[in-house]
Amino acid sequence: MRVTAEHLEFGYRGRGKALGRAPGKDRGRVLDDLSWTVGPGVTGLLGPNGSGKTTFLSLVVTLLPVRRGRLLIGGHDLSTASGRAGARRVLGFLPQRFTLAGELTVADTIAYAAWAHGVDRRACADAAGCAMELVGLADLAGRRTRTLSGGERRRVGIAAALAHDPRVLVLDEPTAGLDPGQRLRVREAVARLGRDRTVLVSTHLVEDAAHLCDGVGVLAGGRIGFHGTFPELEALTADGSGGSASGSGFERAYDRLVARLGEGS
Amino acid sequence: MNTASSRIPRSRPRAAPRPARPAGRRAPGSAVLGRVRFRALLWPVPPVLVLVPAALILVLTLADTWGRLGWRALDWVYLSSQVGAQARLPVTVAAGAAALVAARLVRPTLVFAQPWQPRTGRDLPLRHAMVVTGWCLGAYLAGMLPLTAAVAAAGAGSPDPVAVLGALAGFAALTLLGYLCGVLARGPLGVPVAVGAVFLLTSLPLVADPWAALSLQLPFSPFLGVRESGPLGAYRLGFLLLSGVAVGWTAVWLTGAPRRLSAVHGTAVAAVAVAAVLPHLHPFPLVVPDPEAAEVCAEHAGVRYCVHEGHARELAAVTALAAPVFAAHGLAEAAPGQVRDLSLARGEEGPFDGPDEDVLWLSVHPGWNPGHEVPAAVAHGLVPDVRRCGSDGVASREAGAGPRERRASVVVDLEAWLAAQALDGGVHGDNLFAGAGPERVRAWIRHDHRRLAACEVDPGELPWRT
Repeated sequence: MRVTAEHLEFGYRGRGKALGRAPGKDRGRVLDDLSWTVGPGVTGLLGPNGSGKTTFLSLVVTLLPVRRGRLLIGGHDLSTASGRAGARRVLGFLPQRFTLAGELTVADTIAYAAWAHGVDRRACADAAGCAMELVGLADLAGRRTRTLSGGERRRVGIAAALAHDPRVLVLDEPTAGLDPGQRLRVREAVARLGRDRTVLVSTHLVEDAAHLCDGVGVLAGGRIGFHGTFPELEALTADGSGGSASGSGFERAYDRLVARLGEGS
Repeated sequence: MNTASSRIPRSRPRAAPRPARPAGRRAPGSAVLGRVRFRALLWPVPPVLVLVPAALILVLTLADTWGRLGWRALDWVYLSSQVGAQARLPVTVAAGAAALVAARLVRPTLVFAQPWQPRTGRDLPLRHAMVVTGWCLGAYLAGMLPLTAAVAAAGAGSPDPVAVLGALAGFAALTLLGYLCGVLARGPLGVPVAVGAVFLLTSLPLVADPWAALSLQLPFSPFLGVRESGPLGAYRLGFLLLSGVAVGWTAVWLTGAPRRLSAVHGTAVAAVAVAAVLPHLHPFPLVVPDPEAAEVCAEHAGVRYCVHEGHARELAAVTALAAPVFAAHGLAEAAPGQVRDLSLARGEEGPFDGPDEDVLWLSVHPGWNPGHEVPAAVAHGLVPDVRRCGSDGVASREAGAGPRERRASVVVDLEAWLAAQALDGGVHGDNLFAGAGPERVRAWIRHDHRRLAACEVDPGELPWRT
């Protein structure tokens, strides 16, 4: 299932972020004529702070209304109420900041999430069991969520987003704030998920994106300035410094791209 | 990864079949998850958030009604009004519980209550509200069952369905209001806000009558012989249903996304506001006489005793306790022709339309104590109003008391002595009539009844004290 944005525009009325290159009447506009298609597999969404990553994800998960342009999840047009309702059933979303009800167990939390996503109540327990297995939480099913570590909480969040088996999974900074070991576990879990669904991962950690993602889009100036694979990104921005296919090399390529996009805008 | 085994049951609108699972394999954690299946009636609220307040409501209701199970003269009209009156404290607990559920489980940051999720903007708050309201209301009704059984055993009168439905609608609406407070506060602060708001709203009818059309109860408890007025009950039911829908709808709207205000919202708010103001501009009558009341009568020593047919069991006690008082007084012309149950009073008659020399009205009401109330009421009816003495109701024989206060003490002590004659005849030693024989008192009454009626007798003039 694809996520397709066509000439998408979005701005906050009276407040919010403004594009550096768009003074005057464009003040407050965050996304500007953004067109992009995300296909199956894990796709990274990179961009500097304030570039509109969270706004774009909020539009994708229907938290914000689409006013200009088109945004399609599969065949569901998010500018219509019926399209949003249809899209919500195939979407899973892990926000950057989320909370858990500490008195609930991991199993209950994920089962409730499955129900909130539309799974029939009688199937929620089984759905939660499968989601926990996918992210390696099966042993923690009976634990109260207040006793979990940061990485375990993050995986509970991913399992909650997965519990209804969404075709499109949107993860906002899934590894933020985790130690290296926890990041590795989360990355492994996300990589597994991308095998049979569309996963869009927003992150500012280029290294994570390089390890996780089949493709990457770089958001700058309100639009996608680059879309392709990491080797393509590296080739595009090659400066002859001989950067290898490592995280640091991708980071340098990304930095150069962002700088170039900033100059262009 | 084995894709087939890792597939999760797909999201389906309703009634999705169980997902296929490889033979002989159970999902990890299924022992824990199995408990979920037993929580169907609580889903998706954690049991502790529902069962604790429900138990508290049950205990509160039972504690408040337990003492009434042995009451005399219980009737359905009284019970119908009590469904609302007894709910004050339980509905406050229910509102607090609903606020806590909302505060704990509807924060938009929770992974299972995000505004975009398909069930968050409608099913989730409705299900929460239904579970909390259902359990709390169910506990309340269970707590009312013993009193209902006691009333059914008495079998007097008939229930007032509009009053009962109004009370139940009010219980649900106020519980939903608590939930809305929790949604708005998005934290524990919603609980005290909900408790305070609901307690205030349920107390308003006790402050001013017009609020009775907007809250759970009347400012008093009606009983056999009157009914809550039809317009009042219908208006209250309609208002509380409208309020419940508006509050529930607002809570649903607040949990969903994206949110847009529309003309419908403005109309709903305006409708509730107008409906809340109308009873203050045009107050409804609170109760009306029951036109279907029939009476049961008996005659004894020239006095006719009549009670509401629903109070037929009380007639013997009324007769047995009133007759000795009349006999102790002895003056035939002072006795009324009838002693009537106040439940038989109608608009064109009764104690509210001025004194009726020929009828003594007696309030037979749920929880009454005939052994105390009948002799006191009859004796009160046989002596002059103490205000005739000109002492502003003060009766005293203390040193320094004026002649009016001293004369008033004769009236007051005679009333107490007459009432005592229905029982063992004993009065306090300070009573002016203590130690006087009944014959001697009767003779004095016959002799001085005109001066007694005018409150002109000084304690020193009583024959047995000279």
